[in-house]
Amino acid sequence: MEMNGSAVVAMVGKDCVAIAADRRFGVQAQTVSCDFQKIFPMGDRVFVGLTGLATDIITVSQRLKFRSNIYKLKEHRELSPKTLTAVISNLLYERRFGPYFCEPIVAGVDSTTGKPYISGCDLIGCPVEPADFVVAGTSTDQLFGMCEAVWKPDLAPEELFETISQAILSAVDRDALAGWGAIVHIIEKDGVTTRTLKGRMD
Amino acid sequence: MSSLGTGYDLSASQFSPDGRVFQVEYAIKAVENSSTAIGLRCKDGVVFGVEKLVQSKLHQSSANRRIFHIDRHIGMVVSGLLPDARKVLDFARGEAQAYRRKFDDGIPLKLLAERVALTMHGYTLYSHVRPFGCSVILSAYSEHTGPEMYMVDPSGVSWGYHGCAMGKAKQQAKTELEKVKLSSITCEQLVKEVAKIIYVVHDEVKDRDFLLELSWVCAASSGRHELVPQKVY
Repeated sequence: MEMNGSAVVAMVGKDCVAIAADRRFGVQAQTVSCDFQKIFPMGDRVFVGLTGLATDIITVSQRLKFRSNIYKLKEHRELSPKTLTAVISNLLYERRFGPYFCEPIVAGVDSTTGKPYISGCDLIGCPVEPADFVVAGTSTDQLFGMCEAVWKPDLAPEELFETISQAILSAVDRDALAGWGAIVHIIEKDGVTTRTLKGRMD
Repeated sequence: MSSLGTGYDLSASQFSPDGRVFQVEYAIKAVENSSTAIGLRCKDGVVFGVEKLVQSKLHQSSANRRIFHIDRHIGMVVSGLLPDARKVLDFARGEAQAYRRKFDDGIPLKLLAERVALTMHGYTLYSHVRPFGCSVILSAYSEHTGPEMYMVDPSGVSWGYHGCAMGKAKQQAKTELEKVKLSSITCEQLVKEVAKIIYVVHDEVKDRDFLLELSWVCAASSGRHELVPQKVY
């Protein structure tokens, strides 16, 4: 899990969620790319952020997209964030004894109820659905510390953006394997705003 | 009638010269020999009614259920060879649970009906198995999809219905069904209509005793399929 390095965090606000990730792709100490995608859309208002081994990030996101597409074709509706969590959990547990080295975070707004939702899983699919924030990656300790310090309930989308940006930038500054910029998605019922953060490129 | 299919009706893997699969048609006949079952869909739910013929006074009245639960939110009523229906039921329950395992959510009725239809159709393709001698009606109700009802027959065809009937008095029941104003009736009233229809189509001369089995899945039952509670009777 410490081969490539990554940091992903998701937070709940007032009728919105935010999910942020760093952009580094490295092979241990050597940074190879600073625009590696770790957050993938699985629907209009549902995003999945993956951390861990980069090759597994790619594979899991592709397999998940496949399941999401089949669901959409069969049921004529999109996966809700809660159901997506169940799908990921199932996908990861299928490989219980030879797992994907990948820990996902789901963030989204349910398109029918409008409720914000976040969840995270471990590498074998055990889900957790907290009301405040979820963190994953090599900088989890730092992220936990930052989130506990800055998160408040019912933050408006703009405030939530500031909060999550501060959290991720400060956390990855203390982690050699994560950083090199960050990307933040703010998901609301009406739309998604994506912003790239400029951070320390080291 | 039996001379029609001579030679081409020995297995489900054979077509007749006029393009029919006789085994499947015979399976459909088997359904028509069983007692009547009807399903009616109104604006806030689906009601099933079955005319359960009492074969013998020694039978327990609660035995020989014809209405089953598939998951919390889906009901199934069967007509035809009951052991065959058991197999279909087990399959449907398996599919519903497999879906729940993957998606942590109840299976949409349309998907389940497709799967049941697909498997029933599968048994009409080969000579070493025979088609299911039963028809099933599936029902579900949920807030956002509303009431739904599908009937699957031995050939594996599955249609959505507002009202359907199967069994002995199918034709007569259908005529009665068409008289019910489904768009304006509620489930509580529909239960009485369904019971009335069963009583009307029951043939007093040929079959004496019968028990009425009723079930519903509707807004009043919060989308759960259940046997109609006594107080509604």
